[in-house]
Amino acid sequence: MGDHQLLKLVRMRHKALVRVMFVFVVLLALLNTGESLNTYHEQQKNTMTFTQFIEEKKRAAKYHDTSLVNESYATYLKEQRYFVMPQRDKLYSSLVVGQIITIIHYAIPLLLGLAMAGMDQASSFNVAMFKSRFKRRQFFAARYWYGLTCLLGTTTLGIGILLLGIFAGVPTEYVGISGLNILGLLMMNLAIDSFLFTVGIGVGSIFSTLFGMFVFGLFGGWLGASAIQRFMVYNAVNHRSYWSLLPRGDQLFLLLFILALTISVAGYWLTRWLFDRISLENEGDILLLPKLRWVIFVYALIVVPFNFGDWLFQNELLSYSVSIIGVLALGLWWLHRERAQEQLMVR
Amino acid sequence: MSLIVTKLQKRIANQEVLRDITFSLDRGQVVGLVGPNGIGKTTIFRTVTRQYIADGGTVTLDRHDLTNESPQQAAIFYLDQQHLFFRKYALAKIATTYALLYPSFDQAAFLHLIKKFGLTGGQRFQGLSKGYQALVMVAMALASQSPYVFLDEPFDGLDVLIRERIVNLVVDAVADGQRTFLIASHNLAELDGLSDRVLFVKDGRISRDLTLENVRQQAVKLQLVFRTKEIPAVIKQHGRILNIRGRVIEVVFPDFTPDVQAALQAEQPVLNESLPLSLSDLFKVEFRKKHAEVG
Repeated sequence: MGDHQLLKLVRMRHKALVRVMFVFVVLLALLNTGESLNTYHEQQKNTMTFTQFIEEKKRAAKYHDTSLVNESYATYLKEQRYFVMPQRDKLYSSLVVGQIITIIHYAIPLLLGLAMAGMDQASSFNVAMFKSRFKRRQFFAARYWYGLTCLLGTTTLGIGILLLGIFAGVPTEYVGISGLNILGLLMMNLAIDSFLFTVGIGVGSIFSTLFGMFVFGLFGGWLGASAIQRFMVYNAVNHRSYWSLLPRGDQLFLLLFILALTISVAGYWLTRWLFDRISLENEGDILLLPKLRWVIFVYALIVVPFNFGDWLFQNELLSYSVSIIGVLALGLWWLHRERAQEQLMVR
Repeated sequence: MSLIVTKLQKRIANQEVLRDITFSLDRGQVVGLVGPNGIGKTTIFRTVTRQYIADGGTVTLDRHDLTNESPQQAAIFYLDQQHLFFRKYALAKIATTYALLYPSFDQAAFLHLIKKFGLTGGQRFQGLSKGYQALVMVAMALASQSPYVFLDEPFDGLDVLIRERIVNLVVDAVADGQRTFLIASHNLAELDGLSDRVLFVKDGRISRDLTLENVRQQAVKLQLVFRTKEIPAVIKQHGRILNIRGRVIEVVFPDFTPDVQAALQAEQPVLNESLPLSLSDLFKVEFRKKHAEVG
């Protein structure tokens, strides 16, 4: 009874947001389908004749372009006709994923999580829930699962629309997408949705203002992702022997899939645990849990200097020192600002 | 059924706002929560209702511990005016939402009440005047059927007609002995006619828990004039001076025993007139420093 009412409450509260997300994803899928099919059919129209192909090959050779050197006309025709070149026995087909998963797929779950948690905090809905008969963890769980279920349903529908459009608009023998590829696609969708939605809910739950969520949460997240990328590139170049130990292909895909789901589950439990400990006298601060400022501070101290590298006169020592001093100065400003806000909160 | 708050503690910004808040509420009372600005009245409400996590102490309702979350929390209704998520909602939607938050919320009663105020379910909360918003919030409290209702400055900035309507609603609601209102207010005149009991908040504690009926039996407020300008020792020892105008002294004796009365008579005052003792007088007695300058 209680759970049913809580779910009804959460649904009532967030249905507008979910509807916006639904319309956006479906429109995006339709648009993407139309564009993909258009591109495919344009490609068919512009297929070169044998004579044109030979001429193109000669022109490429003249400009030292080796892409067509070993390609026969038959291979070219095959490539042209396929929507994506088949990688049928692969769970993770980069060509299929590249066609269907766009950058917006990453933004939607993150923004939905952030908006759900952030709006509840900013509009004082959390206040009403904290003093209600429902346990905080019950509320957190209901909102999380409602949001994730709607998200997964909608993004799966979006992928379904796109695939249906492709199968309807391209001769079946030239679609090039296997059942295994689709399974991989759905697994990837699940991993992206659960991981980024959890990040969004997490950031939205611990920051007290929308400003804090976007500036510190998203910018901080972007800096972190960028730092990881830099770290990976650095290691790939300087420690090739270690890098080669990592699995490849579907094994790597499965490893990353499991990793994303594990981090999502851990993130869910951690955020729920933190949500239980929020005390709203910290509303005027940037973080609802002020003790977390030290975690963010240490995170910034690692991520910011590493990210910016040798930005100042290409001198690492100077650049790192200035970056660290910058983070320390920002940290002191933050501390000072929070002290002032706390004084105002006492009544 | 009683709500018992024991040794409630809360620190904010390294200040001990609540040190040892202890009081209990029984059904069928209107209790005033009184103290100067910034003393922690709102913090008491917010900590009891778990918006703030308490640093110590307990809140129990019929042996149910409310400090750790409990479905019994629905027995307390508190609307924090600074945190209203439903500002943009229509009144009917507020009712639907609160029916999910509070299992006993009576939507029909709420709509009936707002109709009595001349409002309709289609009107948005934020489009109402301050006075009508206050009335709607009291209507929500009544419709929630929660036995304990906390009101924070319900009369603040309202005209006398709206104040009167709120007072009438509260009095009617308490009449059946099933409801208790804990009202934090600076409007002591309004609270004076409304509350049976007053809790004074001072230094993070409930410094006085006064039943007004008993206080008025024990304490007196006198207007005195003596032959000389010198203030007699009996006043300095047992009284709290509220006002001095020329040689006219207004003084409250919190415990007006026959001995005090005899000592006062011995000073042979030129004028000794009893005045009605108000909540404002008690407030001054409690919060004005004993030897503060008056007049």
